[in-house]
Amino acid sequence: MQHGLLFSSLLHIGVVAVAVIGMPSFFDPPPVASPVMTFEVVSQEEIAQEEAPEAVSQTTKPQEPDEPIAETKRNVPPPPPPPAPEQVAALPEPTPEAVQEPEAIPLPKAPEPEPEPEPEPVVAPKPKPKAEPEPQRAVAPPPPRPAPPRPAPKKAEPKKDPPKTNQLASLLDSLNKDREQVQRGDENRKGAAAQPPAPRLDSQPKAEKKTLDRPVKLSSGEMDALRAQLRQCWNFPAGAKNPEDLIVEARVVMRSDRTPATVEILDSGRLSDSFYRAAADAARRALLNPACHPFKLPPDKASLWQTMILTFDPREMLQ
Amino acid sequence: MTLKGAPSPFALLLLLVTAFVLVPDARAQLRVDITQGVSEPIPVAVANFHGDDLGSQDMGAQITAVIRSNLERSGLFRSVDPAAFIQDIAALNIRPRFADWRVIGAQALISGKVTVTGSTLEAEFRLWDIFAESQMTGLKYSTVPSNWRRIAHIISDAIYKQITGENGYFDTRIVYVSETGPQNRKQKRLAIMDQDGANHQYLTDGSTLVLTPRFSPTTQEITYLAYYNNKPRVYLLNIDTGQQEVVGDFPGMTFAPRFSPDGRSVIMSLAQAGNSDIYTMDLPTRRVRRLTNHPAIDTSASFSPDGQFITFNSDRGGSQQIYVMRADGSDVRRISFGDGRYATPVWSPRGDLIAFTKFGGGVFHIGVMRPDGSGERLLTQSFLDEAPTWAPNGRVLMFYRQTPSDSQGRGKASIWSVDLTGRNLREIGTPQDGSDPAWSPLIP
Amino acid sequence: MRFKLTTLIAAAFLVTACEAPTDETATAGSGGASSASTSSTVTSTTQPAQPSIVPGTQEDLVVNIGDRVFFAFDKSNLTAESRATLEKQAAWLTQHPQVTVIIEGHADERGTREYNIALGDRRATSARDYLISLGVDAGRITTISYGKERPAVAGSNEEAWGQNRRAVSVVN
Repeated sequence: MQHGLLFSSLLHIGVVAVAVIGMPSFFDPPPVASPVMTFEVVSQEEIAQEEAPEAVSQTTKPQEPDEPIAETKRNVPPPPPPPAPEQVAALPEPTPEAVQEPEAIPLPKAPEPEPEPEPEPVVAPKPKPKAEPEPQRAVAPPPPRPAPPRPAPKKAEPKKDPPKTNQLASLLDSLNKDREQVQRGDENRKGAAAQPPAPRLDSQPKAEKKTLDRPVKLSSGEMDALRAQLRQCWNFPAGAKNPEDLIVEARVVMRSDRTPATVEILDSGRLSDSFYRAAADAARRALLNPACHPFKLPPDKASLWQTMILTFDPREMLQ
Repeated sequence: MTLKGAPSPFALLLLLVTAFVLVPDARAQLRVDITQGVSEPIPVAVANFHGDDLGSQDMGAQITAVIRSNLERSGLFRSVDPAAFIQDIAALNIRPRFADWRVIGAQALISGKVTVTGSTLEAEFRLWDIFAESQMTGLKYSTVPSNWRRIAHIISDAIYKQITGENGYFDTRIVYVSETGPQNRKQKRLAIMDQDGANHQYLTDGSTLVLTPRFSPTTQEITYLAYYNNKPRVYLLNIDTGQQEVVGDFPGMTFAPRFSPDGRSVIMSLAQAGNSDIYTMDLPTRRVRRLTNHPAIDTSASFSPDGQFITFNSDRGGSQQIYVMRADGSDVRRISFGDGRYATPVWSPRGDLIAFTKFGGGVFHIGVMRPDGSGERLLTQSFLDEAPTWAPNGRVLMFYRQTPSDSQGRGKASIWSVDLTGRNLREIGTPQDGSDPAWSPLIP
Repeated sequence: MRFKLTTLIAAAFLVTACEAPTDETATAGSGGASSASTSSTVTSTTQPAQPSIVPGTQEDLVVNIGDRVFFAFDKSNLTAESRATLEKQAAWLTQHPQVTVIIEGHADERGTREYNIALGDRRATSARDYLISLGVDAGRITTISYGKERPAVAGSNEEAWGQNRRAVSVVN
């Protein structure tokens, strides 16, 4: 018994001694720092820049075996495993579609890409006659930004009220206003049509044919049906920081079968912002999702919905 | 002007005005505003990364599995069952037949290729938008084969960013306190693991009580509280070298440490004569600065990401509440006003929210509120939830949850993650019980 | 004398990790040096006769004086009962001028870790200050807080929590 106690005491003295003296040895071998890696962009669009035709083929001919890898390899010499931690860090930047010229000077980013896609427009309007939902392809990707008919007026369209807080009401409100104006406009234009050159606008003639049709409007029930339908397909990743900055407007040109032929994100200048781009992609997915085709639109009012502007406003959705 | 009747000047004017107003809308487009949608996992097909030889294929399968698991756990993605895939994987390296993927319900497709040659691992992936039939992004990486998990995490991060716009958080680690033994004789050791639980490793041997580890936002360092020699003090530990040191030479107990956003200083509480106040110590110069001077308990301080403000926990109002002050200690104001007690405020790395522990009425919650105290939302509830830590992108939190202990001191402590919606709540597996998790920044 | 010394050391330095011989009581060590309160039980059982308690030891303090005082939830003020205990401790300390003590402050598990560490410190200081006010030399008393890390009683119920909100005097 005494022995046990003595032993115990000694043991504890030992433990204490270790605790007092041996502090640094408490640590196991530290985890090895993982080696760094390098990366490079693998993107077909990148190649497209060098050889425009390729780009077209890439977007039009599904089976064309592109060799993006071979291409990119040329760009970046086989990098040794250890180097360039900054390159990894840089990863997020080059991520955006290569159209934006990853390694180009950052500045021109926003405006630059737009003029460039000369070849694209060719692709864009190409609404393959096939009834399949194929053609969307051309329109969809942010970079190729088709914008065939998109005239200046869009910018001038200050309709979208600045961020309001009692959204629904105000939205409905503005919607109604829009509709009213449209109608009034139609009437006016009817009058104007008969007379020579409209004082202002080029875009007016286009509207003309519609107005000639039959100036009806979608009933609020019809609008609601479409909203209710698209709500099922609009999947917005929750948790974004400033949802008020992520309101996306898309112009949709419809086919007569009530599926979208083209989808164009209106504020495309903002696509370089990764958050906006993600929101735009989500909006596009909502419109192109076959689960929501055909759109619930009254077939007899095709003249009204042949071109639509849909606004995806996530403010109410995100908490 | 061939309006009916005589064109009165007034009518003319009216016409002009209307025309002007209407011009922008001249095309009479139908406008539809969508303000409601769903927030559910996006169905994504992750095809096994292709390899030209067996070794590469094997590596490809492993990388793919990690990516699938990451995406699934994020709650933003649902992995489409590979058994349903129609198109051959090898052919994917060329270009997907989108119809084949659309028909199985995928909205996005991830394909890739892996090449292992000697000491080099090359991996590339492409993220495809199935509906738009376009490549959303594609990147290629090269590293040593042993680094394959990081490749998988980095690829997961790239995908996450493409879909959400926000940086990912998969290439990160968690340091936490591993616990063994009954409630009243707990042995605690620091441990570190990847965000998904892989590469688990103990950092201390359990002979000394260690608590509340926190990552440096800029270096591979951890600051934590240890009871070496029964002197509770704040320590620094370099994970790479294992080197550690006590932070400062204070006359009393230091605790509740956290790094400043620039990693240059540590903010902590110092207890003297029964009173805890908040101090910072600049690490390079060792200069100490006192920020609060109040007879109440001031603790659990956390900087805003811009370094301009500090949120902390104080009972100066009579019970534990959350306060915010300027980084120099001025302009203190209380921000929590709900029922119950509020504790452990932690500022989100993206600055928009403060996460906290709230308790009262026998339950604990993890919640978030804006830095002005508005918009409080509770994300979890249990017998004891405590100590939220933010993913570097500010969209996900980890915390620990403890179950009640029986008379033998048997209870369970475990680490959980939850996203900002509160819907994606998941337990993070650890070899033993775990508490006090701290999320690292993205690994540089 | 020699025996006395080893007993003292054993009592003072029993480490929590140690499975003390007869340590099946729920009131296991309250941590680090504090487990002395437990080990006093040990020594008493290893020694045949109760009367052999050595004056001025932890065992003496536990058995004849009372080594701990309790607190209400989230409080650090001393109750009348606590003050009575501390008054006895002060007298005892005066009686044994060679003894120095560490006062350990503890909290129950119904709070957050960091705040509870501060609260434990407050409680220990509260006890210390009272002892000093009773004439004990400040240099003989140090404090440490364990927050909610070292409950004396296992379990998640009011009774256990009440036992765990405490300040314990431990002979150095």
